[in-house]
Amino acid sequence: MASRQLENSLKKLITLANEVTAGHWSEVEQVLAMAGDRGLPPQVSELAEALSMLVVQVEARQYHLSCIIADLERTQSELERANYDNLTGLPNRAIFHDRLRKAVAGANATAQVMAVLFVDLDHFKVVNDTLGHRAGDELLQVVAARIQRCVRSEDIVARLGGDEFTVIMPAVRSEQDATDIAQRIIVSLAKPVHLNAGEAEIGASIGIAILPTHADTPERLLQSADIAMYRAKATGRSNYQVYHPDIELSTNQEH
Amino acid sequence: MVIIKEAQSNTYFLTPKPGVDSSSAAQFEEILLEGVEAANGSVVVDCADLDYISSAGLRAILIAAKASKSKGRKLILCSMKRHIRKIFDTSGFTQLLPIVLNRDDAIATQNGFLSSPVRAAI
Repeated sequence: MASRQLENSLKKLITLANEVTAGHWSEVEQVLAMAGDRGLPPQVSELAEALSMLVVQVEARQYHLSCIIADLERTQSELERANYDNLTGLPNRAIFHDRLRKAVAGANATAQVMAVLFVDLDHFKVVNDTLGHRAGDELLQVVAARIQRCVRSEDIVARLGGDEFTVIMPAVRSEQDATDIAQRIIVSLAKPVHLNAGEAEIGASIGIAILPTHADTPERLLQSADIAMYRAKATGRSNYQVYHPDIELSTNQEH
Repeated sequence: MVIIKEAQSNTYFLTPKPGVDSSSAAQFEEILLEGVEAANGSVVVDCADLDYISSAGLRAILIAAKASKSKGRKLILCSMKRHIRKIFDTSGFTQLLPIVLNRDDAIATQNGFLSSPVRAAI
C-alpha cells in the first residue's frame, strides 16, 4: 500500500517536473504544493522541495537579469538623449555612426539595397554673416524639419555638425528611391526661409551613395556620399549627384 | 508561524517566527504585500527569530521584492542566522535585496547610508 502511494506520487511529480521543464510555468504551484503536502511519503515531498528550490533560484535569477536589463536600457536611453543635437533635436554624429553601422549590417545580412544621402547647405555662411548666428541657428532648425518631412518614416535624418546633414535610407528598391528623396529635399530647401531677422535663400547640394553598388562598409559608404556631394557643389549647387568612381578621379585631379 | 508587525516612522518591521514553510507561505506573502502597500519608506524583514524557510517562503519574498520595486519601496532583510543566510546566498537573493546585519544597518540602508549590493535590483 505504502509503496503504491510512493509510486503514484512520484509519477505525479515526474509529470509536473516535465511540464515545468517544457515551459508550463504555472505547474510550479503544484510542485510547491507537493513540497508542503504532509500526506505524501517524506521522500517525495523532499524531492518536491528540492525541485521547488531550483525553481525559485531560476525565478530569482530571471528577476535579477530583468532588473539589470532595465537598468542598462535606461542608461542607454540617457546616453542616446545626450547624443541628440540640442539645436535641431536630430541624432548627432555619434548616433548617426551607430545607426549607419546597424543599417549596413542589416542590409548586408539581408542582401538589401540601402542608400546614404550627404546633404550640405548652399550659402549657409552668407546667412550667418549677414543675418547673424541666431538666424543661422533658426535656419538650421527649419532645415532639419523640412528634411524630415521629405523622407520616408523608416529613414534616419542626422546632423553631422555645422550645415551638414545626412539621411540613412535602410532599404531602397533602387537608386531611383534615393534620387527621388534627394530631389524632394532640394525642392524643399530651395524655397525661401522666413526667419525673425529676415528672409534667407539657401539651397542644398546632395551626394548619394548606394550599398552594395558603391560601397559595402559604413565608412566607405559615407565617404562615397561625401565625394558625390562635393561633385554636386562643383556642378553648380542645388543639385544631387550619385557616386561614380570617375567622380573620385576627377575630384582628385581638381585638388 | 507568527509575524510581529511594528511601524517606526516610515519603516515597517516584520518579524516572522519560528519559520516559513509551505503551510505558512501564503500568509507570509499576504503580510509582506500588505507591508509594501502600507509602508511610506521601506519594509524590513527582521529574520532574528527565523529558524527555517522553505522554497515557498523564498518565493513569497521574491514576489514582495518585485512588488516593492514597482511601488518604489525598499525591501530589506536583516539579522539572519548563519544557516538562513546561506540559503539566501545560494538562491541568488543576495544580489536582489539588501541583506544587512541588524535593524540599525537596515535603517541606514533605507536612508542610503549603506550601499546596497545591486543598485539595479532595488
